[in-house]
Amino acid sequence: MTQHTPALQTPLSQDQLDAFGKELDALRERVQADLGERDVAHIKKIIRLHTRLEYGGRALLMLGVFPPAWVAGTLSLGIAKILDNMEIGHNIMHGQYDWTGDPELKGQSFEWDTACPADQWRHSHNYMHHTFTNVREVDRDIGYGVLRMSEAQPWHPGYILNPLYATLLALFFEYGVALHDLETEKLRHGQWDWKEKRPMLKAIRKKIGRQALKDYGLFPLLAGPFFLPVLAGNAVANLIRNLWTFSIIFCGHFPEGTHEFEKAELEGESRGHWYYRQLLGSANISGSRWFHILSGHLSHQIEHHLFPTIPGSRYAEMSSEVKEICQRYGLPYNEGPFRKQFTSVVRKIFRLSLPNKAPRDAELIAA
Amino acid sequence: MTSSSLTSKLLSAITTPHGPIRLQALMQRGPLPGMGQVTRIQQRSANVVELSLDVGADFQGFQAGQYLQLGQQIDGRWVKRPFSPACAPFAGAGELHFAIRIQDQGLWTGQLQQGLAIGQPIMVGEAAGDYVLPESASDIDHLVLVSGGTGLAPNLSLAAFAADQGIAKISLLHYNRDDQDLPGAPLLQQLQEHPAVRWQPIDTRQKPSKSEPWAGHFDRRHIQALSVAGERQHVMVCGPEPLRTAVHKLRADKANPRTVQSESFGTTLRPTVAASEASAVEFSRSQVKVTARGQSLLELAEASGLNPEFGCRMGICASCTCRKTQGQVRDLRDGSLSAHGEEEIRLCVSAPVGDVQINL
Repeated sequence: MTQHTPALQTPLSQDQLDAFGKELDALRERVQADLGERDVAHIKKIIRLHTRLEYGGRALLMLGVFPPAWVAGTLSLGIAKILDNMEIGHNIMHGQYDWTGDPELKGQSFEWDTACPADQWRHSHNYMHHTFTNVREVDRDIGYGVLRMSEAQPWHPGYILNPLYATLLALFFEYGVALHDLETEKLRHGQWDWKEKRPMLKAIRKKIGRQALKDYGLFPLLAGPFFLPVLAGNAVANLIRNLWTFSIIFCGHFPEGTHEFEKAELEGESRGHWYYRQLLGSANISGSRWFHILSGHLSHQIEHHLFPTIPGSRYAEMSSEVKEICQRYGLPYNEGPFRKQFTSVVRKIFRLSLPNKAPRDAELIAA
Repeated sequence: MTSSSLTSKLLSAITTPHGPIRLQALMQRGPLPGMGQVTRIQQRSANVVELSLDVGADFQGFQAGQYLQLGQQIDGRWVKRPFSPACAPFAGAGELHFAIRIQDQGLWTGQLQQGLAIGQPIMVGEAAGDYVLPESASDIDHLVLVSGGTGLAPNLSLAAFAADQGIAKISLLHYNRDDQDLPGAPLLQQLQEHPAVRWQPIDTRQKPSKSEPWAGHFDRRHIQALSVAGERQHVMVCGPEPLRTAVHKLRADKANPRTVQSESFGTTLRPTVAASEASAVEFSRSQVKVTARGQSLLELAEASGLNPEFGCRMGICASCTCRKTQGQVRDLRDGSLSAHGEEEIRLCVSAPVGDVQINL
């Protein structure tokens, strides 16, 4: 069950929340002060790996008439795109490496290999989602304006197709993300100001065009007679990336046990309560070092939401301290292997395709 | 469309969104765009190091006398300092020469002797500074270039450029304690052979005397000795503050119409002050100067009628990230102090400590 915390009620007193916040602040400051050469060496290494995988994969795809080359090339390109979007792009765009003064690692000017223009992402994700995490009607990452991901979203018959919508969103995730900041659900309700949206639409069209020209035009053309294998390889590589990023991101806030919040709780919110909300609204996925890198360390979603501007590669070492702090304050720390978290999300997608059951009935009886 | 512009368009289309720079970095052929590569480090004297850098075809160039921000990566951070090249101006691929004085406990210059290796990348910023020849340079009969210490570097560049422009008389007056650490020595040798250039080193440790007038600190007689009545002079001075002040006191006299121009090193901003004290904040692109007392730079900018981008206002979303070009700021969340140089800061959680300049 998704849990709803009643407005402004927490198991901690305001003093405890403040102390909890101070401990997390101190952890952030300590790691911030320790940032240096090894963090730069890590991200530069991943960028070099990305370049090798991308162009190695594209070169292999030129020989794509041979099935082993096609498979290897497609996988290589798919993994490159995953690294670009997750460990490199997502983290750099959070400003995690701004302290380096390196133009290649600058959060505000980074652009990534996906359909969504980076500027729109910085707004919808860094600001809206990270500030108002799991607050209903404000954080549009709850269901992305398409899915029913919360009991509190009123059910209507269209949501019978919730699992189908989710599958389509997973397959075309990069386009879903690209349209995210447009607030297309408002279009459906006739609340769209076309004039206001035009520059955004233009930017999205341009970005999608450039991406498609590269993957579905120029590289296939460069292959000459092997046009089709390259086209197919690029499409599958994008698909691999879409499915992976969808899975990781949906495991971040939707597994059972994650909390949602009401707008009223935002009023005069203290730093301690903000941390508390980030913790309860997020879930971790356990896994190996490379699993964490391929997930852009979003597998440490809790640490990422507590410390969005600290480089992701630091989350693993911070997590033991975060866990220990949570334990002392009696707060839950939602963590599980990928299979468990993902199954939990899929179950929720199916369950919420139907109207709410037990609790509302129970309320009726009680009334 | 020319074939080269078609090729570059195609290259940018197939390497979108990162551009060809990633491939170039992997192949490591010469300096990357915006970067130079160390070709030579030579100790000139106990405290002056000569540094030479290769720059690539994208180098925007500089005017003689201007400075470039050079960046070294120190513990993961690019740390930048301004230096004037001691070579004739050029743009595009070529080799830049610098004469750099090692500062006591200087972070940047401290790395020069131990931390730099041949081939190491150095960030090369855009040229800046107005210590350049005036536009009416053709009216100058006699260009007098006065320098102290490493202030000789831009003057050598100016002399080379002025000689190239056909200025008939160029005097280099250089005040120094030690003639061993003459910056830019190779260029200096070339210039000494040029018929228009007069090189006059002056040892500041010696007392001037009848037999040796070229000694001691700056004296107007040093310039007078090189002057011919009636010539139009332009004096440019680069060096420590007392030298600049002394040269600025020169006024045009009956014999010589004269203009004076100077270059200073170092910051003019007030350093760190207590949190409660007022700081002068300059938002440089908006050309707004205001006084701050403890509030965040975001609140200050808004109160000054500017509209910087912002999001969470609590230091997490990075929407308000801006470049601090000078000065120091305090992190409002934990009170920690930033470095003094150029860096990205988040306006919403930064308050000025002393005078600060922000690129907003």
